[in-house]
Amino acid sequence: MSDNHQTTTDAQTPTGDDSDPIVNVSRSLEDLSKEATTRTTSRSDRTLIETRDLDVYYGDERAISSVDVEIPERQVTALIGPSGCGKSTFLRCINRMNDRIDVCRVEGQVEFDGKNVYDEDVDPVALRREIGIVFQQPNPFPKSIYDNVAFGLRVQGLDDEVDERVHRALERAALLEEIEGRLDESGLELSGGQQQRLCIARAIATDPDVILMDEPASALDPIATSRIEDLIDELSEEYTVVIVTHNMQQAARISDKTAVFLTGGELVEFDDTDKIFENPEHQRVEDYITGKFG
Amino acid sequence: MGTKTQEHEWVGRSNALTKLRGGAFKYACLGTALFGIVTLLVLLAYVTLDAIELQEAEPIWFAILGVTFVLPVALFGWYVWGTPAADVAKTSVGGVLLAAGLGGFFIVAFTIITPHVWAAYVVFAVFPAIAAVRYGDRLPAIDGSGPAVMATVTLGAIVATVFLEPITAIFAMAKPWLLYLLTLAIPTATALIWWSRTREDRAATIAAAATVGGTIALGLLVEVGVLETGGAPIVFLIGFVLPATIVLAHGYRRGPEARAGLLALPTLVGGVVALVAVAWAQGVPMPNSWIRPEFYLEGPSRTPENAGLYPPIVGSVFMLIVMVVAVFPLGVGAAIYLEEYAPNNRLTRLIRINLTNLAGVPSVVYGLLGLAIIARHFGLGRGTVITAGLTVGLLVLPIVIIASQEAIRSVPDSVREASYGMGASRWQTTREVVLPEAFPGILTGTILALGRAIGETAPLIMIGASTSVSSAPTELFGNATAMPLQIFSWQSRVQPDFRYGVVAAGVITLLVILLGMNAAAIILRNRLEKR
Repeated sequence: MSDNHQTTTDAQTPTGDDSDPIVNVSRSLEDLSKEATTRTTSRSDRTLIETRDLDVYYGDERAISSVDVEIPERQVTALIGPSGCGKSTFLRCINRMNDRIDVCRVEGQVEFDGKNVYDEDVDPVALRREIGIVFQQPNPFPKSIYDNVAFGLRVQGLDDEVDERVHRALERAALLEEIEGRLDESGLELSGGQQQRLCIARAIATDPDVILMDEPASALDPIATSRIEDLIDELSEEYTVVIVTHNMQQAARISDKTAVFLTGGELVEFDDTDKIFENPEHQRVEDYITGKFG
Repeated sequence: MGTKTQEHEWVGRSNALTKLRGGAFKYACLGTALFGIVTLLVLLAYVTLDAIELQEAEPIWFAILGVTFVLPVALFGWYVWGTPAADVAKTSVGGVLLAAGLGGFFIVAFTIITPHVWAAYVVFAVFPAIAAVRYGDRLPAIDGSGPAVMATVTLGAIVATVFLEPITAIFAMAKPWLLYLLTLAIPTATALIWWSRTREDRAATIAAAATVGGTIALGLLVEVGVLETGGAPIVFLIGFVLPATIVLAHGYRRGPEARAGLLALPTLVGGVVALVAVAWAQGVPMPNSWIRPEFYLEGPSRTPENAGLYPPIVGSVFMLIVMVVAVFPLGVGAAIYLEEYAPNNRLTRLIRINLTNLAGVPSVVYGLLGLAIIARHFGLGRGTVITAGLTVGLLVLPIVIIASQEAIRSVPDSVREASYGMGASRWQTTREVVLPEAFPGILTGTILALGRAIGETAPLIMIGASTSVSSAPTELFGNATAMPLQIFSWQSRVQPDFRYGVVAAGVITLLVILLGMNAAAIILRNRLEKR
């Protein structure tokens, strides 16, 4: 992506680093709440994912302490907070990606559709077919674009109408137009923003219920970021989206609910996004979102 | 700022930093490296001279050599130097030479393995395994195809081994060329088409069609009685003609500018032909080289002039086959387990650390192990092909495991995460994502390990392999010798011609094979990783 866009859209500059001055310049609550109110919040209020008293430890170190969250269906829930506060850990608990880390231990409950995903009889592989995930760094497989999207279909045994599903997923991820006729090229030859949209296409191709996003735009330039944000907005019509972000404006723009984690893996406040950005209950949350610390 | 002139400490030579020690160290390192390389080169030149007896050639022969071979080759090299054609020249010559090596290996291998035995193992072990890989996911269990592949391969191999006689008796009813068509040509063609589907390569499809068509044509020639046997020509077609054509076609498609490089091969071959023809016409004798066709076609003899390397070559190839069959699945399987499945506990840590130790255990010790366990305890016999292959295989197993582990470890974890995040099982992730990425590294490591294996001598002496056998082994339990052992035995003969000429020829042959294998490993890695 070209650099000349950078200057015009500074306000959206995504960042993977909390200490980035552009994000943390002090700003008034009003500015943020203006963005937050632009989102409509009139959607299903059914709770799809609910955590109760969730504690996560890495060895002896506690990464998340007693988190209770109710994530509504078909809405965008943003998780914000400073680095190392456990947002990503929390996200990866939902589809048990943390199982891969030996020293990680989970206590408490993560209920998905009323069933604790940490129950003995839950197969994490089958669970992840319902709860897809998009990572911070775009990580397409070193395969063709087509095979990238078809991968999930094939591993899940969805062998019928593969072509249609692949095309639909690419179209929904707003990628099809740009890459029409190049489906046989390697996914690694796309630009960073296209790669991330390919990863999103890959995640939605198998039609999961939930899409987890771990800072999906932090490695991208502003133009690509705004495309991803538009995409998330559209996806929330059909999918439950949980997104970790460092970018306060991004959370305000795209989410219906916001959870604020602060140091020590503690969930300080969880409420409607407008409420969090207009009138947070905790002084610490207000300090954080206005850039006084973090 | 910056206009005023000022003395900086970091401008010009200053006494604060002395480069003396660093420079001395650099040249000392260079010196040691050069010493090693030059010593080796001198030795190699000396052995080569001994092997081809160049010093006894007449001066006029050198003149003919210069005019017919050296001059045209030098002119050609000067012409293509620095152009894309040079690259094509290198790859076409190297590729065709490697294809020749592969073809030779194939032909020797398929004289050992009869078409019936080959077909038995392919039909019972390989085809079901391919089916399991392809359709295993349709099994009800989510993780169905992993165990299914292992089970089909093991079970198929056992069934084929136990019922080898009746199965081969049944297959013997079919014509050998038909068996080759079904179990060699069509699978090769399918692999080519599969390869081309993923890489947009129409030429591969044509090559596949040519493979099947050529095999059928050779088979028909057998049927009408023009050819006596279809086996060797078919193996030659698939082992040499096909890869060589692919290499040449690849060079051709590099564009008109690079195409000139394809003339490198005709220049070299034409040079040799011209040399022989002119020398013969002028009545100049060729140098009395020990490296000559008969050397590779005959067995050992009491006279140096008649001594040949054929039985040890067959023995080495046979052992190599045993090793590949035994070591590749074991080594890659162990590496996959250790990297992808093993829990991180004390036992697996111990295994991981000690693999390096195992790779460093002296080969004589492995020989003792082979003698005690494989030859005696399992009763596979002293000095047999299977004992030798398994013993040396055991020796290189840790090397294969370590190389495969490194290749698997180099696959970035982010693609594994992506795969798991898509709801792929561990086996699916391993098969679809990790193994394809790690494959070039695994292949390279295995080839290098096999290169090490064919040079091993000590364990073969320990397991009681004969240093010299009169005929090539024809079965797994036959007595065999290997190239290094045969060379060792020649070295202890009384006649000086054995110790200087024949040994030198054997050493050069062994080295060429080794370098060829290493070159193949490097080329494969570069080609496959460039994708």
